[in-house]
Amino acid sequence: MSVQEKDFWTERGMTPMQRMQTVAGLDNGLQSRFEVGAAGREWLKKDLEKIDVKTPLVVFSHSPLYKYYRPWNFWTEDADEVQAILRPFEHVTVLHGHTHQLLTNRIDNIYFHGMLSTAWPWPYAPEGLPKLTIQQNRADPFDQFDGCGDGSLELTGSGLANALYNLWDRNPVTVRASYLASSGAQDAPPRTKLPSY
Amino acid sequence: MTPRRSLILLALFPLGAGAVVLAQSHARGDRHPAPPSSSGNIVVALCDGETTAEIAGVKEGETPTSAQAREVADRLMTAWRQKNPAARWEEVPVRLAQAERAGGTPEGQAGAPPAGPQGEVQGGHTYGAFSERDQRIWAAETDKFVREGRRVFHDAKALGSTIAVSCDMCHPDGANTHPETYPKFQVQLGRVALLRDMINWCIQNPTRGKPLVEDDPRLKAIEAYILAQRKGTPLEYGKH
Repeated sequence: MSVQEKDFWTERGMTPMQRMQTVAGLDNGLQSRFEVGAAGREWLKKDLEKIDVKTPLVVFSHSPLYKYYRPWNFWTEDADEVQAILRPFEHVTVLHGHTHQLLTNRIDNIYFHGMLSTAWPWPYAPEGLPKLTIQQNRADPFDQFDGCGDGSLELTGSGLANALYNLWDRNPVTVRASYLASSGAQDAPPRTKLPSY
Repeated sequence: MTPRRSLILLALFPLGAGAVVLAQSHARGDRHPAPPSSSGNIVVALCDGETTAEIAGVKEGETPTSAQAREVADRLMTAWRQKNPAARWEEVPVRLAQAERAGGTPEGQAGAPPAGPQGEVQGGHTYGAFSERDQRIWAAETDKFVREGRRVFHDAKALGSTIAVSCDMCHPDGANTHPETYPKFQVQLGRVALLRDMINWCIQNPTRGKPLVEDDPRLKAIEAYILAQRKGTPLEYGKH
């Protein structure tokens, strides 16, 4: 899913470096909130019309297709409308980037998995998730790649996915579909030893 | 060679008991020359820039006793009053808290301060006499300091980064800086660290700048911003 943002750089005459510096600063408020936009939503709706609702969907998106924390743009402005398009389907998995942390969320039939980053891990936002159950152990600032990593999705026969968070400098963490499907009752991932302050 | 003279400045505040504060200053800009003593005694100058008095028997470089300091302060105070008979001087005596019993009889023995009308709020001291306007000014000044910290925190150039990286890029809104946990043993450094030590570590490493000296206004401002962001969080030094 392609998400868009408004141009904040042309009018300000920013160099590419300045533009990247701005984007790297989450709290400066210069970057607009991400959105799929009317045209993108229309495309998605049409694309899904021909698909049976029992078909498991996997959606790839840069930003989380839900509203996590607006001040840092951990956010998609029209997430509610996008979720409405995805709601008829039995099992939807959204794989997204942007948040740079071990982050999983479920809203009804939609299971969201954030990807780790290969640089620049970010702290959890101070609010926004319904309940932070198991966090990633906080990263060691003295270890350049701690908190970074890659990952993979393993699609199961049920149409849901197990998400592997392959942390480079620590043991990997798997968030199983059964954990989300049971609302946290089964197969909990390893608990946090050093939570956020 | 003329011996170097140190100057003791007397600051007289119009407080209740005519409190006198004795302060010694070495700052060049604050030095007010006092006439030298022919006997080499310490000469103390009043804050009017005119009145002076010697401390008998105490030479330059020696330290007067508390009693000697008190005596010279009183002498200068008397001289100032004689020179300024018309000056308004608030002669409010220090009032001790004096709880009244249920029957209205003051507790305590003879000689205790009389129980006069006290009002609802304790008073009688300058520090309690500031107005809401004063407090708004203080708040504005403090906010300005914090805003400067926010600016430096977000400005790679200002904090001396050589790779265009600023603090906010890892710590949006000062997140994950936990100033309330310092001082604490920072295991990666192998010693007890203060928040400023970690700020300087970050400036040196992730942002690849030079560490700031301890009294650098930028360091102070960054500290102020980080602390302001955690307002209301209980202090818990040593927390890991």
